Amino acid sequence: MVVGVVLTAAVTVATFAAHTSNEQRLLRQRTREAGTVFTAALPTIQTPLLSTAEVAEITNGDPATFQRALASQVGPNPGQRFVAAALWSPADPSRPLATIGAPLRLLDRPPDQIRAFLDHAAASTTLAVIPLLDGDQPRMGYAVHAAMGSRFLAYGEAPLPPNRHQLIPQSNAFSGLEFAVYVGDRTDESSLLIATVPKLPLKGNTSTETIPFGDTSLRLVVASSSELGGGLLQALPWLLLALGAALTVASAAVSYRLVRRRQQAEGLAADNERLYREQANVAQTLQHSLLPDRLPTPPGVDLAVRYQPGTAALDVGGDWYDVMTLDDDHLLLVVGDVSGRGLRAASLMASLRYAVRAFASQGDAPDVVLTKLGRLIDVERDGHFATVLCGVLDLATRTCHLANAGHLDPLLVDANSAAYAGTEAGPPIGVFADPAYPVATVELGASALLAFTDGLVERPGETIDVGLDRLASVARAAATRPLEDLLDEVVAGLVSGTIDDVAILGVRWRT
Amino acid sequence: MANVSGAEPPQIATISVEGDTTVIRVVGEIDLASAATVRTRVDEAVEAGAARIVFDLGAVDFIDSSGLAVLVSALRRTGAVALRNPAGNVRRVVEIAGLADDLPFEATEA
Repeated sequence: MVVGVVLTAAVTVATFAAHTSNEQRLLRQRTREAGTVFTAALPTIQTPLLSTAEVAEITNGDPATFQRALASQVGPNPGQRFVAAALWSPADPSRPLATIGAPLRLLDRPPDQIRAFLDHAAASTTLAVIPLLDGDQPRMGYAVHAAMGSRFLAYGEAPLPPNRHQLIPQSNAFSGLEFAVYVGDRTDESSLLIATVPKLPLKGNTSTETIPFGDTSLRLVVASSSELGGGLLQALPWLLLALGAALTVASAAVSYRLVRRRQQAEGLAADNERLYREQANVAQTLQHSLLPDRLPTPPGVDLAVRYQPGTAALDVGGDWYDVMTLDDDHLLLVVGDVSGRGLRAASLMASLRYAVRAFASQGDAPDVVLTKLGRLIDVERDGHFATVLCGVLDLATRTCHLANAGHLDPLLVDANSAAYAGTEAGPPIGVFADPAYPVATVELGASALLAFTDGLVERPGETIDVGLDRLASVARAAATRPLEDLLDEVVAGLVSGTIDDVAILGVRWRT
Repeated sequence: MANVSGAEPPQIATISVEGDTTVIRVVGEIDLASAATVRTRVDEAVEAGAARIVFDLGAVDFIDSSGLAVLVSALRRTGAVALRNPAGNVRRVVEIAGLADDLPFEATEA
């Protein structure tokens, strides 16, 4: 919508003076938007820790359960949020109850500092943040407890880029734009998280935004010495990366590509059209960062996923899919859709996605998972609800136990038939308190199970049944192909021109 | 590319009161772009003390999850909501969402 307003201005005003003024306004807008992005990124740090703290409370701080709950989130790979994590008891700050990943930087601190931080975290009502910025491997530490009076704190350390200066390659693309992010109130070297210039403070026109961030705040300073305020959008993936918040190599590649593609603006309208495209790119980058970047590989089973942004994807959407190994014989399968779009919808999506993982890894059945999810989102309070299909696949018996909260029934397809599985939908998540959901048991046999979001089958001007029939017919025609090809055919046959985002998850036994 | 602000035709949502029931009549599509307009009408109805809201959907040909979210939040705020004359595909979306019992359909000649 902001971009729409800017574009309207673009076609009605064409003088250079107006351009300059527009650029300053853009700078302020982009700075504010970046602040919103940081706020929305916070759940991607907080939610995995919070879920882990809740699990610790239930399991009396069992170290193995803690390590299993966080295993996929801790490690050196892009997309893993933490390099190190630990479970602490505030009652005994001398050493953690369990650790996972690299050695904790927090343990380099004097005992009284560690004690003070843990005491503070135990009393805090929000995510407790400790900057660990000294040394050549700077990190941010985060701690959270399940509830007031909880016995356990879940703690994670997210890496910052080793050289906090000049992270972004110097090129013409960034000649007009620089930025610096600080933690806390101070804007000096010891509080710096990341900057694009070797020497601070920033010169030229600056715009400053203070963003609440857990129990502290971030200060974002952006300087624009000439035109092209849109550059900040290109830098957003780097900003997020700097906070250890959810970005992957893929998004870094997007950023580089944008940098290379960037040209000096030839005129105001062209510039703003480019901003529009970049906004769409940022939305897609954020979306991808919130989805799993790899799938489990259970023996004998093919899994495939697709995510396609809709044509109106100016803003990040709330569709997601997820697959997680529960134990040697069970696999969690999830497809969900938070209504609406925007950063709020996306951050609710992230919360729900991690909560499903946490509940399922505790051993909750699909219907129980859905009932518990209702405590996290409320349509009256949040303005959004979510539809979720939650399944547990039994690898030994080739059956899937499915519970459905207002979501579309999944398709079962083989070369001879295509039929919807017959799950009975209960209300969407966030509509009523503690709803009950029926569980359907589906035999997969040699069929592929395709779960999807409504964007795949919903079109203005036709009933949804037409779309469901189209999906069944396209899938059956491709049913003998490998699963990846089958999903490609479905995307090619149905996604073209769809307005809404689409998430698809497919599973099939190999023989 | 200039038309990126979601410039659909203007959404029309009007309020009328029939006894203790407030009727919100919507024309066109209830989607992400127009849901806010319908929500504003719901806010007005709730502030005016509506005990029951009927959405007259006879002239609505498409509803998405953003639209459904407005309908169920109206249900949560008033306790009683019905959908008047919904078209077949609107009906299906409500049924698929598992909400047919909570957002009952009614047919009226009016």
